[in-house]
Amino acid sequence: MMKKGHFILGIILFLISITLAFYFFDFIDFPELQLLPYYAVSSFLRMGFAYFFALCFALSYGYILATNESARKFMLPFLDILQSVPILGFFPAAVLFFIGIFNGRLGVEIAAVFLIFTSMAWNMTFGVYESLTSIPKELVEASNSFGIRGWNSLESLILPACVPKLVYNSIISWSVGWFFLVASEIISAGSETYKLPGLGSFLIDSTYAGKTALMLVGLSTLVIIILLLELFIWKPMQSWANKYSYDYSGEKKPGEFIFDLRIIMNLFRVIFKTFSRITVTLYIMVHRYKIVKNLLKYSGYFLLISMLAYLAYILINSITKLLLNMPVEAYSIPQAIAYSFLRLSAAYVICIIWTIPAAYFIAKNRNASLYLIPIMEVAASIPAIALFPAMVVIFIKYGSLEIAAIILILLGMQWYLLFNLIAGVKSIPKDAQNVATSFGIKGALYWKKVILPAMFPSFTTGSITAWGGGWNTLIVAEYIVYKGQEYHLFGIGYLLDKATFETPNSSMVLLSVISMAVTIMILNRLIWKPLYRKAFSKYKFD
Amino acid sequence: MENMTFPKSTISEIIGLLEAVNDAGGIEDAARLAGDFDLELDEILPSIGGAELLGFANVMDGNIELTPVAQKLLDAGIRERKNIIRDKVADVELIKELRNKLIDLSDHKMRKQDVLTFLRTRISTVDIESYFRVIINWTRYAGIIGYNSDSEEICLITQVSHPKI
Amino acid sequence: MLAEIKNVSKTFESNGNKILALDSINISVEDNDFICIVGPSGCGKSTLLRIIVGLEKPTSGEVLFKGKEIAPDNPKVSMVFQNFALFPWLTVKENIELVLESTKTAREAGNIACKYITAVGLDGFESVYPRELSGGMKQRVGFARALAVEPVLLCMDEPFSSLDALTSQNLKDELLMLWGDINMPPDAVIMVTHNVEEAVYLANRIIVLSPRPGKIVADLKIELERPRNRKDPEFYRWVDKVYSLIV
Repeated sequence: MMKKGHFILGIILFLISITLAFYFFDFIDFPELQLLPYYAVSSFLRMGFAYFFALCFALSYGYILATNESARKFMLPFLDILQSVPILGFFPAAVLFFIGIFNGRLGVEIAAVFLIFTSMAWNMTFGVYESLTSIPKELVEASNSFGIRGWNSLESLILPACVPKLVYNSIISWSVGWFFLVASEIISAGSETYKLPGLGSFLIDSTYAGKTALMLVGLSTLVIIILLLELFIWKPMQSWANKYSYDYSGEKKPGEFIFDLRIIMNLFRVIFKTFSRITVTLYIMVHRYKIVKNLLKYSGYFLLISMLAYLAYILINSITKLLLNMPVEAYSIPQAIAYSFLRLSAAYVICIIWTIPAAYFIAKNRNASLYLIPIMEVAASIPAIALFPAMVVIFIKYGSLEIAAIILILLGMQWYLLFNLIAGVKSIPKDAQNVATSFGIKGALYWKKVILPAMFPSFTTGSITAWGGGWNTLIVAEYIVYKGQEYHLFGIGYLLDKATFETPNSSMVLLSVISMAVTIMILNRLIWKPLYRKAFSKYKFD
Repeated sequence: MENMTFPKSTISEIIGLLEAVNDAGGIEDAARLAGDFDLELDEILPSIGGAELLGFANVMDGNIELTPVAQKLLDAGIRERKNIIRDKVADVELIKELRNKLIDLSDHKMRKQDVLTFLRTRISTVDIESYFRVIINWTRYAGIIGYNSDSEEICLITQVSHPKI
Repeated sequence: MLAEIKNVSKTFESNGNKILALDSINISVEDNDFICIVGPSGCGKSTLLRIIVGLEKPTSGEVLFKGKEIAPDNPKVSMVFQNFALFPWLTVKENIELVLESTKTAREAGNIACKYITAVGLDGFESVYPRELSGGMKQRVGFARALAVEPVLLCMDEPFSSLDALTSQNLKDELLMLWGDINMPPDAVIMVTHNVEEAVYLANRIIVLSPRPGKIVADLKIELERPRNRKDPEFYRWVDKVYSLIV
């Protein structure tokens, strides 16, 4: 019987052999291939740094949120706002900001890492916060009664509590992060000075040079790295994390292929322990000397306040500059948003039309599940953005950027929706299905009153994430520079990109980002949040 | 009215209890009853309290004895049972008060929040919501007071035979 | 004869092994039968019920209903589920109307639904959602729904197991009241339970299955007058008798 892991491994080997074939046989034709390992490593390192910072941020911010009542009051809503800003919207602003400080390519590198960081940090922070607030009360009390409280409980209580959600969120963060990594590399590739060497720029360069074969090699390298991480790090980590889950029944799913990665596990365990030991020792040392403690506390406050003050200064400065000379283009923003919104809606409608029946078919059909789901997981792991260069080719050939853009947005949206819907159908209780079968509820009635309502909660969560992905893809899809020629679709993404790369205008960048964020927040409040509430109160099986 | 507590049991549980006491001949020791159902004494107390409150049982020296109206209830069919229960539920002080409040209002409706506030003055507890659910369970079963979960309002169900008391 | 289970056997495949779950089950169901199928856990009684209702196919043998082979959506056979199986987005009335909509007009469906809602004592709860109902009330909706299609044969899979002891006591009595009402469907009941007292209390016929593979060990006619009293020594004798056949 074919096991899912073996299947994926097969795909990896297939891709590796193709890549190697190109490498050895076409070496002479494609000198760029030499750089591929270097590009791959650079991309991977950017991801690694971003993840590390995100992890530190998540643990600290999450811990403060969970333990400090007064801080939570403004820190939680703040985090919420940060989450609703479309991440790619950050990028141009971040580029300008960091270049202002660090000059040249270093600034862009930091901007890229910052971008990936923002795509990872918020959901991991929520994960830490949720983990800490759901530690069963008895455990906290037990630790306290043994004299383990505060920082001492880091190793025995806090970090273990966070492990399951952190692992889960890390996996999500990495797949989201790939998207933004490639995006930042692609976007920066538009400018010679700011180009970041990496898989993203490799893809763009090979596409523009017309070397499709090369582009495919780059694509498979990306997929290979992603799948290798999946098989050799994430899957094993998931079963390791299960050990730390509060309601784990100790069962391994039959037929699951899990690579036993004891060495790396032990490495993590060591890092884990060292990290907590260091923090505890530091904490004890600090506590011993009240002066040091107070000094740290006040300098911490001072640093925080001065950072906030600096940010506020920049913000006020840009806003006043803005108000004093409103760029003429600013008046086209509402229209641009409308166009972008229409594009997203079109892609969304297409999404719905195919994902709902597909999800039902796949969830109900055992053979389909076995073969189609791994294939789709591989397809889904390719960040839609990596296909952007291919989109450009299609556009050039068939002359319609609009269609290419909508297809790209569609790709950036559909997997979220599809996988959520499949999970939704699978989670319909067996008895509910039996009711339909035994009482002869079929056809239109079955769909209208049984299946579609049952899919509603997962449809909502899937749609919310799909739109998030959609907004981000839009920013890339609406603006292309090909062979020195600029092509665009009128929309908010275009305005943003233009104001960053073509005719740098920080006020426009600021305005565009703000209007995007405001639009998204309005949509959230008016549509998504009420829908979510309704779905989970009225349509969830308990 | 001083703070009291309301028995947290559903009508079904109360009738179940009465049937068990009936099987034992109309009177039974509470502890033994609990044992029959594989329950702790604590777990059966709310149903006993409910049976008492509705006038279906008298409790003395740890024994539960059925009242004549309880006997009538047990001999009756499903429809008749509903009528008997309606009369008894309508007689409960707290529910009488609630009903009178509704009668006084022009649209005979009251928001859930206001009901909870009222209940908090009568029952001292942290989890007032669970008491709300039980009381609404009783009044809905009796067909006296209804509840619309979408608008979160309780409403009076007009009964011809129950004037304001 | 209402229904006939003829030589039904069921084999499962698990990890390449064949497991015989049911072995040559023969049951004939007559008018006015209230049958309880009891047996140790894993004996296949739930599987047998699903085969009778038509949700599963036997590996060999057949289930005949009034002489014809049974189909899963046979309107004359309906089912009550252990975990109630109500749709959370439909009200009590809508949950019942749902199973009528494919064969009746909207008005007819509404009237029938109201009739059975009243029959189980849930009048007043028509527009209430399942999440607001206690377990006992949810199962009453389950009963009403199963009766609304006016079945000849009612099948129940551990209908009281998810309820607390007091509520299930109440519900059992109400079930018997409905059963005793000649104006109410069904004509026969087959119920699966692991609770022997429950079986002796309700059934006029108890079928005991052996541990896997499930074979019929006994088919007893319960000769106790209704209403039955659990405290009656005669009652206990029957309970003991059934227990001795199971072990």
